[in-house]
Amino acid sequence: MAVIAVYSSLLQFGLADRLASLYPDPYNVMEMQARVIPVLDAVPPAEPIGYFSDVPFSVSAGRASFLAAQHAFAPRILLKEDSPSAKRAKFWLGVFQKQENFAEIGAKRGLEMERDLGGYVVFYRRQEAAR
Amino acid sequence: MNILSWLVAGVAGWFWVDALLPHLSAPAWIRRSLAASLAMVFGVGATASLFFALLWAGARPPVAAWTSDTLVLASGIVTWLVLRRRQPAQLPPEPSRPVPLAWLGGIAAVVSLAGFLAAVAVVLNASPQGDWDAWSIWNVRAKFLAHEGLWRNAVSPDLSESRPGYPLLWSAAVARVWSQSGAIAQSAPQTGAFLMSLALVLIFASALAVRGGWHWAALGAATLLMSTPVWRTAIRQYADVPLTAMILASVVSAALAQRASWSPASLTLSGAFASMAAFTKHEGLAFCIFLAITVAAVSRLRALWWLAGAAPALLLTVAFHLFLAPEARILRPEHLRDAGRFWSVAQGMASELWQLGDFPAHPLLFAALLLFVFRPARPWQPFWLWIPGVLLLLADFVFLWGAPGDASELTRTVGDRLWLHVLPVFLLCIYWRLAQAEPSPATVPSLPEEKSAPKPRSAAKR
Repeated sequence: MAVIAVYSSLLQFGLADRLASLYPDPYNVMEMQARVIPVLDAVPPAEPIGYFSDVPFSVSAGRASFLAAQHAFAPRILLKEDSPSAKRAKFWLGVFQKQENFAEIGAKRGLEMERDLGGYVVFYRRQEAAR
Repeated sequence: MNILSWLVAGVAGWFWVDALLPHLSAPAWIRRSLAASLAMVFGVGATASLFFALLWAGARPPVAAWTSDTLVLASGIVTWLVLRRRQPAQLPPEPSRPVPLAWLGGIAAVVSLAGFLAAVAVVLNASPQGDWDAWSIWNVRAKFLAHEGLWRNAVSPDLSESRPGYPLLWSAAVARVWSQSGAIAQSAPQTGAFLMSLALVLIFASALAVRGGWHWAALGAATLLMSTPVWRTAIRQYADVPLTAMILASVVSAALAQRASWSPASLTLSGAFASMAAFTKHEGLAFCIFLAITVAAVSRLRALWWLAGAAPALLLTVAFHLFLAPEARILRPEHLRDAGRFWSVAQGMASELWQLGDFPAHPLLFAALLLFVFRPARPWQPFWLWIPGVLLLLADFVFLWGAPGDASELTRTVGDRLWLHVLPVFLLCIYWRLAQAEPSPATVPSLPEEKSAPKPRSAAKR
């Protein structure tokens, strides 16, 4: 029994160690946090932020990028594009899968591109708010 | 500062636990280990609950954090001074069953615990954000609570993906530490996760040592640490580890209360732990109700002491659900008529039960093997300690069966954690029974006490 218990703990430790070295940040949470730091001060803490993405929310990656952005922007609330309260958002975040004309995509939504945060993450401001 | 804040909560909790626990006839190191591990959980739960109540009352986060610590500590010292003057309830010594080659179990327990703590430290260091629920629910809501004037964002319906209807104890515990340190650093939830993992194992081992000595504690701890959900959940920074520690602490306190002729103080402590579990997760609320019913059934009117202990955090939990938590539909009646979902959940839970360990290192397999070898009479006794855990599992099953979403996927995602909530309690009940010495039936009436007394060292050598 003792031998099996020790074997089991060594096995579990090995698994945990491998997990930590191979996938330290599988959902890019810390990466997202680092990306949004330059624009955090531009948004007052009580101000909600709109969110849109070309990654569908029905897949895990879509949910993960939204929640990672919510974690990074907290205590500001992130509102999905289709949420009724998203209309009041002056600031927006776009998360994309590939390089595109981010300014044009934003303009179609009445948003002005404020800053490309890298990694296909873009910070926008509603056009009337920008003016 | 982050580590210090957690330890301050533990110190504040120590006065309460030391005042309310019955006097154990066990070596000092066992008593201290049990009191310290219970105190960590009690202190964190009490300060976090009070911190949130003060936020709700309008206090600024740093004021709420320092005030909650001061109030829990000061009231703990007063309670300790008042209750220690009285003769505390005494637990009679009980002979324990000797364990052959106990030192091997000791080595296994030490290696397993060292491996467990090292794994938790390594993963917490490499993945400071924790796993999905940690960063998307518990820690993100802690950020709202720690920010002045924005705590209500933690229960905003707009936060639908971060479960705004979940109770807030663990997020409040993290936010309290952030409010005291003045900075949102990932080391706060990391330290909390590490300390709660350690407290869970220590509560289990020291509660077992109270009845069976170090050799049974070592065997039990080695068995608990064979459970893969204990490892997986601890490294993820999930609220399930503190929840499991609270559930275990409430059962241990209730069992000690029964042994001390239903000690009112220990019953109060059990109620407090159960109510903290209720403010941690929905499963904790279900467990709290089941334990309340069970304690009322076995201790009758003395259950009022249990209710008195549970009242503060339970009232906060009820108020939270009534006035703050957005409405959420957790059951769909049409799903409960779907037999296919029933079988999906049954298969999923059975699969998760099998995966509680990596064969042959399976905790329940080991417990079953020991039951077979030692063959204790009436191994299910005391039966009432099993009831809240069994009812909780049944409630979990019904929830998975009727919940919105795909039943198989849901069971696969949360099944291991649902087993984790009750596994330490079940293992403790089995090992307590195994540890209890049983005189042979022929000598029962006239067996002198010293003949049935434990002789662990000589037995170990045999």
